[in-house]
Amino acid sequence: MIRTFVKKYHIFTHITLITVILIVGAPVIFGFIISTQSPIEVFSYPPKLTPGSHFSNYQKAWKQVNMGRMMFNSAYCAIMVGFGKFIISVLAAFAFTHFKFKGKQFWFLLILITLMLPIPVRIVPLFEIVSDLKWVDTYWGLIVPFLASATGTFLFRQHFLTIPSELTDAAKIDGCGPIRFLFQILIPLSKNTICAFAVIEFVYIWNQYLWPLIVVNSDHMKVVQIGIKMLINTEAMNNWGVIMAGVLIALIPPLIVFFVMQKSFMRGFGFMREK
Amino acid sequence: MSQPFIATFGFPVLSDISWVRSVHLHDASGSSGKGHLFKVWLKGEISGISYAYPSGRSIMESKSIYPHKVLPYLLLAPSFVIIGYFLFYPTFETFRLSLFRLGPFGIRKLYVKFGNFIDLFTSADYLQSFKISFLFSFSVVVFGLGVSLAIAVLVNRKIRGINFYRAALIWPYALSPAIAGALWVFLFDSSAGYLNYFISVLFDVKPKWLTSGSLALVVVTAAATWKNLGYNIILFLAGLQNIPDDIKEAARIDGASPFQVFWKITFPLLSPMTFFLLVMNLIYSYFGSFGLIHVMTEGGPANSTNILIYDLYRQAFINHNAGLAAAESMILFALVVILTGLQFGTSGRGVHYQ
Amino acid sequence: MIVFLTLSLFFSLIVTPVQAEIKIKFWHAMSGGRIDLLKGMADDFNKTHSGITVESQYIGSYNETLNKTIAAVKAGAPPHIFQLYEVGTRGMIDGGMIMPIGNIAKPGEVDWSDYVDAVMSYYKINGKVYSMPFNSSTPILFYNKTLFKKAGLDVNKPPDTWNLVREMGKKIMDSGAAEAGITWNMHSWYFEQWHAVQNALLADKGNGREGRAGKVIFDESAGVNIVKWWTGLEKDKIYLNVGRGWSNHRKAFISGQAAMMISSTSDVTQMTKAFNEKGWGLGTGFFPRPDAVPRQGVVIGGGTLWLTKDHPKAELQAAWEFLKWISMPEQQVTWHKGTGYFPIRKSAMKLLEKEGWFNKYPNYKVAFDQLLETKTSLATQGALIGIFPQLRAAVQSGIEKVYEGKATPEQALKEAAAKTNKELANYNSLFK
Repeated sequence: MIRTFVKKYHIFTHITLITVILIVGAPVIFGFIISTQSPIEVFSYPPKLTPGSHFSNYQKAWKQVNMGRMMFNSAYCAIMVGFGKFIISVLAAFAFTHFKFKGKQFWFLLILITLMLPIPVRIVPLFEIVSDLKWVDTYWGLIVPFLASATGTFLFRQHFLTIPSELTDAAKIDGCGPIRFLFQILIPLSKNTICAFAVIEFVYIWNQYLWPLIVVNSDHMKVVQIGIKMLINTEAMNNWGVIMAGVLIALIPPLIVFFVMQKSFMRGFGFMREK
Repeated sequence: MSQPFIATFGFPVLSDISWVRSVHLHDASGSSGKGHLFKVWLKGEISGISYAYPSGRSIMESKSIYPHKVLPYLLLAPSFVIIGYFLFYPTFETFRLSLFRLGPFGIRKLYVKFGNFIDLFTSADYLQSFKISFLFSFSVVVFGLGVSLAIAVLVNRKIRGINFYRAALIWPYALSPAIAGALWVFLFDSSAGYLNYFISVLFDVKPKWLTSGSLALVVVTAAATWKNLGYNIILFLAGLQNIPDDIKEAARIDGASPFQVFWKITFPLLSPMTFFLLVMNLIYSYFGSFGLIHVMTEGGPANSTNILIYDLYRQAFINHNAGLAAAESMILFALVVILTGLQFGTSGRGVHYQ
Repeated sequence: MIVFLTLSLFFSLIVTPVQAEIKIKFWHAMSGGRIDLLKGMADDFNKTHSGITVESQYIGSYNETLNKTIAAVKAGAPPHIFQLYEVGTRGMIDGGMIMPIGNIAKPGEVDWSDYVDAVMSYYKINGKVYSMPFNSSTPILFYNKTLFKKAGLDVNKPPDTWNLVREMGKKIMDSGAAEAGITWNMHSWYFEQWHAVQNALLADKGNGREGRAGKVIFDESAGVNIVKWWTGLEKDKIYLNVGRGWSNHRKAFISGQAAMMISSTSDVTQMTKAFNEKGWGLGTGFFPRPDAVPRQGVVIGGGTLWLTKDHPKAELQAAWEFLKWISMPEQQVTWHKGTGYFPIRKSAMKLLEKEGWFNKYPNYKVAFDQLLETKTSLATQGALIGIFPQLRAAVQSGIEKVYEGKATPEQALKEAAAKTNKELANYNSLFK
């Protein structure tokens, strides 16, 4: 009896999950359907809702804008930014949570307000700065301006505050200095947060369009969103099949990052392992 | 009740932490509360630590801090070097421009002091943007957090294939705004969209989703909320998984219903993350989504989806009116600083840290 | 002997001036297959012009190209040549960083009389040419011959007046041939063209051509009539309201939801291809005019090429060589065949006619004829206003307000004009 009940419970969960996915994922599902259709099929009314067999769309999308190179550029930038931002944010968050210093509130606020200065607000002067540094059309220009933002600092600050202070006390009594404490205790305890952060940052850089548009001139430095925009702007009649194929190809790396990070999610602490 | 004891060993290396049970503690200062006993494995040896935090106390730093005076500044230095040079410096320049009227290339300029601001605040369209932005923002934050929390709880399980479910829910977040907008237009286009096709077959009407003012704002708000669900889910999941299962297990054994477990244990312990997401969603609602709106409605019809950031985007990149865009940036910046300040002032208090 | 040869070789090497390779940056907004087309053309130029290398780079839309150019100008590294939409002309002249073509072209170097009149009348301002016309288009009517037949309409007689559009549109709907009679996207461009067709002006000071425009006058009777007709069609559902953006109206036309479409001539290539695939007949006709008014003509649309000024003389000269080259009739023919933009030189048109091109593709001919029949006047020359994006936003909002019944056409246009005039006054204050 109990067994069938448990089984039923899982089935109920699965049904709920599938329903949620159908609702939340509807646009993406349609995107997938469109990616298999020919232009005429896409532009038909009544709308054609079954997938076609126009798989050449994927080949076309890949070749037409040199997707491979663009995805490499985006991935490289995303990983570099993620890593750099992680180090910088973690150091800052640690400073805010485990130290007392003058004007701490003020400094934290200062970091926080950087979130209210989005790219459109500062893009032209920023470009002048990057241009003076001779970083136009280079990876430096694509990576460094993104290295410090409040997201990481704020996120890790929130998390570090949940770490029991007794742990810090124990470490201190034991002569563990702050840096060691940070790297050998705090960071291992933040695995879940770090993995979430990694996915968020990857997607953020992966989806950048405005800044790369201004900073990149040559074909070989273009990033994935520019490629997708190029697919969209193809002639008068957008070939939506090819566009969606390109979009779906571009969605694969973020998903890979997500899956890789998921594995680490599971190994977070507190899962009753009596040793 | 066990006494806290301190581990004695070499440099601590964390290998695992596990919760043992709930305890009631009184500490020296007389304050008491519910605490949790944890077993900590450091470098393979066991130590025990217990602690209690009376709820309702807002915390700005850990109770145990390091005494270093110079180190914190060194830790903050990399952040401020980059922020200073790549964020603040360009922004000062932008803010300075708000006092000028400029030609498209910035070569022609006229100092107008507060002229731009006066023009904005006497423009009915701009004032309407405030109203639209408030509505938009409120909905995005409230629905965004509500729905994603529900979904995060739903997918915080160890059933088969859960990773694929999670991935499917995250996918929309990884779409670029232009594509997300395009897909929503495919769905919601009043004449040829998929949704209206179904509706017209069933009910013989074709709601003017994107071509009627009121509906357009609803659709755009839904799209913006939807786009950000993945972000919220990922972070809520992390927050949920930081809560030891053992606490919930114990509560359940003690006879608490799943509902009580959620509200009395999970939700309070999730509050640091909830607060983070509240602030981030507010910021997202005021500063993101311009790409999405540009593709879906261009701020129309008749300015009904012209939120503040979209108007800014339009002034900067379509009208090439740098002075006006700079003025709008300052106004929007001030607005969100105030709103965020309010958030920190009020909700910061109810946040529970362990 | 060997010593002598070696020495002479050595001397010839050091005496021959080393040709410095001049790199010209050319930023454009021509997407899709046109990217490679332009790259190919640039390569052809490079091969025949040693010492100059033109790098043709697709940036994005016209707006994105301008934004990137602005940023590059401010950072001190502007492209030599960039492409912009036609209505940006006043703004660019005012901008202060372009080199007018008229300043760099030596007298007689370019045969301006060979250019199609309508093109030249747009881009020549007070006798001077500022930018190099390149890709020009006009609005035309597309219609679905197959659906016309189904509705019992004459497949060779598309409507060329407003009343006919309404009449034939209604007939199409009543016969069930299509859901709607006609469609076009929400864009001020059509509003502007309907002014030109009636010989009405958008702005004072002779449409901005007899002096700097101080206010807009699109809220007068001509404009009001346009909005009345446009929104009237929408109300009766003869016009299919597809919102903004350039994608939806094409989609509606290709799917057969609307039997007619008004769009740019640059759509001809794609529409022809789509209709062939569907086995439908595609027809084109003139941009429909109000009945009471004789047809004046249309305004040139599309884009033009600008030269930026802050470059060493040698580079400017090299960039000018490229501009000259790309406007030559042969290149114009290549460009037309590859894109559907019509050639802007009469000699290029003659070359195509000789080939029998227009007999093969009669739909292109319509666009030409419409342009050739355009009578030059201040209205068809096109308005010169420095703040076209703002004007368009105001007009579009206004028409949308009428859709929703929130304003009458008079009120909506009055409001739009007031908004635009305020912005125009601000803009003009920079040039006192």
